Amino acid sequence: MEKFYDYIYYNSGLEWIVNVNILISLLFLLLILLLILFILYLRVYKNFRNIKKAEHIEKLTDFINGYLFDTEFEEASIEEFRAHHVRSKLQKKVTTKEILVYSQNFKGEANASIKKLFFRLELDGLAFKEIASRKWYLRARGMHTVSNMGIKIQESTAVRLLNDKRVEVRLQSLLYFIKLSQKYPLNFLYRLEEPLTIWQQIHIEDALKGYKEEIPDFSKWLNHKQPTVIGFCIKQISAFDQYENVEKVIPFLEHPEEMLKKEAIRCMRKMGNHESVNIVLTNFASENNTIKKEILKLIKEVGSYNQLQTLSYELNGDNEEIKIEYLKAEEYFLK
Amino acid sequence: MNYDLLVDIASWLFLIYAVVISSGYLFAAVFSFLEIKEYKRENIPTDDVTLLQSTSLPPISVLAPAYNEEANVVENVKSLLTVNYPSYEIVVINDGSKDNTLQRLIDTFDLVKDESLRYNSIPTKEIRGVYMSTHKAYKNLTVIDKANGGKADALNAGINNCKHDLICCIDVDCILEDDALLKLVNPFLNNEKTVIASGGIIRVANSCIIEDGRIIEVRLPDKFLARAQILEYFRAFLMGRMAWSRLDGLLLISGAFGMFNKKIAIEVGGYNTKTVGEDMELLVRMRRMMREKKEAYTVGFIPDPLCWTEVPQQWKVLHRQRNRWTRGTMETLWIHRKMLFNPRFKVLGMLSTPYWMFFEWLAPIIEFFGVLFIVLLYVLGRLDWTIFFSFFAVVYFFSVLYSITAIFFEEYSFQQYKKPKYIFRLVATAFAEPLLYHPFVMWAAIKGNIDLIRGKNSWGTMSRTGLANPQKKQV
Repeated sequence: MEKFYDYIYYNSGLEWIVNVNILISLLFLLLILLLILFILYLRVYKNFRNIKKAEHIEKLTDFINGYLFDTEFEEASIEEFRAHHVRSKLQKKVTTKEILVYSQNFKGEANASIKKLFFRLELDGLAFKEIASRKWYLRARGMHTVSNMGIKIQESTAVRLLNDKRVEVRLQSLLYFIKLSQKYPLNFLYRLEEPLTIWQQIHIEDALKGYKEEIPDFSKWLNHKQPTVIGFCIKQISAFDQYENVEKVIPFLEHPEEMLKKEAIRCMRKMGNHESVNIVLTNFASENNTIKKEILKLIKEVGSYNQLQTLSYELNGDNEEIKIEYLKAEEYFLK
Repeated sequence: MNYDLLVDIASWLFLIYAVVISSGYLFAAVFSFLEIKEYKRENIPTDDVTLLQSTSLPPISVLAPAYNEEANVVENVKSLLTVNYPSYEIVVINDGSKDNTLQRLIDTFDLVKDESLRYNSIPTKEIRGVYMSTHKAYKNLTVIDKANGGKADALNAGINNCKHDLICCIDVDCILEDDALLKLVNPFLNNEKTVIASGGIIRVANSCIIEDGRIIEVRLPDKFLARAQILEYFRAFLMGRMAWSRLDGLLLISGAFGMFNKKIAIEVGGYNTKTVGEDMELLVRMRRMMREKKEAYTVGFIPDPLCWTEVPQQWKVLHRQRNRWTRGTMETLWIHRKMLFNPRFKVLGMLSTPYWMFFEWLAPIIEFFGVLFIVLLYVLGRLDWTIFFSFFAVVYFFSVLYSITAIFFEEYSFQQYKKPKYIFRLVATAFAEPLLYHPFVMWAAIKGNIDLIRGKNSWGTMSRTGLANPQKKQV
């Protein structure tokens, strides 16, 4: 190598730029070879890891099946399994993941046994470590584990993670509050300072579907400082037919924020509220097309032809889109 | 004027350009790697089933323009109708096909004319009719028959006639992954800012095994031309667009598969029918408007392989495609020249548009002049072969290194090409590509510039082998 270096620099008689180019080319070639080797290593590593994973899952499945269904299963074998098969990071990760799947698939006694096994294998320690991590994806994973295994963590930690800067961590934290709440699943909303994304709303809806206790009164959060929370609550008031809250939603029909006004009109439509039509007709002329279209839909579903006709002046204007929507509504009434 | 001085200045300019462009690629590689790493982590605890059962998931209108697609249109539409998403409609726009595309659709899906009133937010060529199916199984299918006006015009007709607030524009012959819509809609659900569009990675379907409109086995094509394009797609998507996505400076969402906020698309006037690069132009116009209105917004990008498309396997067809891409790029940059180096547009003005200008549009031109310069030196007898070969070696090994890095990114992230022999063939392609493929693509780009100056504004015919087949098939 040294000889080669000496040749390039002192004896070759080449111009300096050629020497530099040769060195750069060699450097690139070296990087190419290293990358090719790394690609091959990655392929072997991933395959090896997948095989290890599959082997571990097979062993784990046998072990859990024995633990759950074999009457002659010995308690001592749990300790033995933990000591031999739940040692490495990968084993702990895969075991946690598999136990979470079992826990979702089993109900009643089997579910309780699976949760017990989670603790006996000392996997809760990993979850706590992950929650305390500085890496957001570990915090999200830790929260996912504790909420699915029903493990309580410190209230202050949960609240801090509820307002984490990463939306993924916030999602897992709010699911934690819903899943672990005994009586008030949405009380975390009081402490939520960040906006609620549609993704989070979908997960909350899903969690509420499986909620066995009384569904909360959504009007409690209609004065929340986050408009997304208010919008979500208006949506849920109609989804859960909370007719007693209609009066509290009506002021939002005149709310300056388009999203809230739209949700309120939709809510009235779904709940078949006739009184709301007259309220929205008052400001119709000054609304934008999105709201106007929602109002026309509301009239079509819960209003009358007479109410629609009060808007016939729209036919003389130049708003073609609304004219067509109006004519569609008229066609509906006259059909 | 000192002749040697001129040669020196030209050489240094070429060298500086090469160093700048290489540094740009290096930064793109670093940013892309970070983005891929982050994306892989984002996906840990998600539950698709939850999403698929939700009534809160926004419904999507899938717009698929079709022109002379008689042979495959029925199978393609059937494949689209099986996509995994709770609420969506398929809007096929027959853009004045000269063959039996419309009749085949009418016969297969029991279509009847729907005379409902419709509002055309965006002007388009004449709409001859809108058809809906009488069959319950196809209730979410709409077919629009219109006079021929090109892809952009067809998509505008689709925007006018679709029901939902999110539109997904696709090429009708693309093959979508089962969860493609679910993944593409994700940025719209999980963002605090207004998401104006989202795009995904396009993969090459040539040689893959397809069954019932789904990819069941990913294979590497035997033809060098298709393999070279696989590498090109790796570089463009896994390295280029991933990096721009991280910087929130994406200017292009592929016309083959992209999702848009309909309200904003209409607000900017829909697709521009006067450019052949309508996909890039629409996104740039949307971004420009949002910036001018000073509204917080973002563009999502999903690195998962969501959509598979057939790439040209003939040099002539590839030439036409690249010629068109060049014209589209240049037209878009010209229309939005106001953004170039304009700090008001932040990343778009100071990084994205200059990058497209200097590295996407100008690169083949400079490269071409570089070749002419070498020829000139040779003719004048002033070419130093040692220096020439030393520079050639640097450029060659850098391009190979860049392609190998792209293969590494693929291996690190999605590892779609499972068989070990595919890796070796891709590596071999990376070594051959700069010599056999790149000069051709460069020439197609030069021709594109010449055609643009001469006022050519057509798409050219894109003949394809055809992907869709109800039976198991290797393309």
